[in-house]
Amino acid sequence: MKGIEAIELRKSFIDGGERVEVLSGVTFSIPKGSNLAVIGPNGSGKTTLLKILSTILSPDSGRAYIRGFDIMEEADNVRKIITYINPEFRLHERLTVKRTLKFFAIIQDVDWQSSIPLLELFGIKHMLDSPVAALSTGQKAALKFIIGMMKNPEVLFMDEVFSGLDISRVEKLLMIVDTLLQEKSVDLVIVDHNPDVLDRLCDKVIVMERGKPVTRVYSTKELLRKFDYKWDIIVTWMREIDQNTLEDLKRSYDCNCIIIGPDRARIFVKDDNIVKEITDYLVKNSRNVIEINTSPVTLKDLFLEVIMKQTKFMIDESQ
Amino acid sequence: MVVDFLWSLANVIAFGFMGVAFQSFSDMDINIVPYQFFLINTLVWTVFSNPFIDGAYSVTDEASWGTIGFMIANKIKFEDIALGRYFATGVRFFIIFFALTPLVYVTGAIHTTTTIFLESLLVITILFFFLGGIVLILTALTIMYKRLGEFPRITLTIIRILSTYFTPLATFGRIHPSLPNILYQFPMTSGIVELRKMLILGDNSAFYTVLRISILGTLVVYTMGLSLIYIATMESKRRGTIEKY
Repeated sequence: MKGIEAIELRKSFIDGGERVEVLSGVTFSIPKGSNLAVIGPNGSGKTTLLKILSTILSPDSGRAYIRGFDIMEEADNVRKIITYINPEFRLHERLTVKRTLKFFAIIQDVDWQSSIPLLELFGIKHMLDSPVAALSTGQKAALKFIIGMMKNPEVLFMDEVFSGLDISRVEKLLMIVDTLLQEKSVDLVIVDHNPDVLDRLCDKVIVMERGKPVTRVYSTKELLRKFDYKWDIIVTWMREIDQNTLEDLKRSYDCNCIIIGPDRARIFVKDDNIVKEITDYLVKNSRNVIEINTSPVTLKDLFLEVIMKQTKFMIDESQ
Repeated sequence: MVVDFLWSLANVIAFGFMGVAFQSFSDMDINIVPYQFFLINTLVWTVFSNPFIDGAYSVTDEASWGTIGFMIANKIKFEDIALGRYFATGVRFFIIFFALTPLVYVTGAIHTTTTIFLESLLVITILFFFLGGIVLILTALTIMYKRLGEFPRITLTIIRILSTYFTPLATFGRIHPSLPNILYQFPMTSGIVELRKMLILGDNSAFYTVLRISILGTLVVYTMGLSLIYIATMESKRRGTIEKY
């Protein structure tokens, strides 16, 4: 059975008096029971796609179906089975957790008490009578997720819900979300800049780039096979990155360099033999290198490469 | 700055107009003294003002919480948001109205029978519904043009002036002789004029006329408001600005 299907979705906006095409023909189909990661650089239309699929925006052309319901013609049926949670979604700090849940239960036409098992699971049931302001950032993110799950949606659209959380909170939330999605057979469509989140939750991926059509869905394993690079070298300098060394490497070897922090860079390498040559080169030529880690590429590396692509961090051929 | 200036200017003009009107009190078309006039106006408008402002700014406020997208994805329409807020605030101010009424009665401003008082409550309720329709129109404008700034407050002030909140209906005849008759067809005007007669003088002779005008007006503004919201929503979804305010 088809879960979500999009056919030639197109969307453009007027920006500064000019029409900018954000979606240039998005076509994909995923079966029921899939968790889809939508990845791509900033401005590639990921959020727009999520908003169109969750009936908030209408496409300029094309069609889309959620569980067989047309998002335009049968929007009310679609809205019955989906939940959309976005990063701008804020909670009234002065309301208690219980009143917040009651408010969103009325909006979703469900009983607020359906959320109690989830409150227990996230360990915040004892805070029902506390104001939302008393919750930690992680607990607020959990509360948003609980609100999203209140009506037992068949499809959950999550747009950067994990943003702003530290590693331990992401990890805790991920563990529960992952278990819940499997238990409740909820399909997930997620946009997130955290590769860990996508790696852990999703089994399907679409890759978006502004102005380019999307024509297929990859399974994560398939995408990994298509990924050109086999090795990942993480280099840490004492103070700041040695740009000259990175550019030399780029010129001399078949590799791709991504800066991931003020003092750290990732070097993706295709050939096993080059790994040793690059590490030797770094040790020999870059004085301030304090750490070099090599490992085979993972899905996380792939997401990182795709997400960082075309940003200022990319050291490309033109530099 | 410009809006603040216009707002101050409007106040000066309104109160100047009031002063002129009350200098020649013979303009009063009925035998009502100023304190009764203002007390009843203030009492009745207690029900209207705050719900109107709350309803008119509801979409902007909801958008500031980032919940517009969530609501649309849950079948909540803009008219639900605006009218929900309008009626919720309305209930609060109806309660305040009922608490204030005995105080106004004690001042001697209310001279009426129980039946006519109940009829006046019906008129107030229909006028409350009518203003809900205006809130819908303002909501449609918000969806279309985003931030309306002081426009809803200015609209409310204009409705107040036209409803004879500040001056009796007859004073509008100084601007143009036929203006009072034209204004009488506006539900808020005929409603407030006749509410004063009903509550102060116990005169309900125009009760059914007011019902007819206000119900018809309510149907018109709701039809306009809901149609405009539908059009504005479709256009805003197409432009991709439905969550931006």
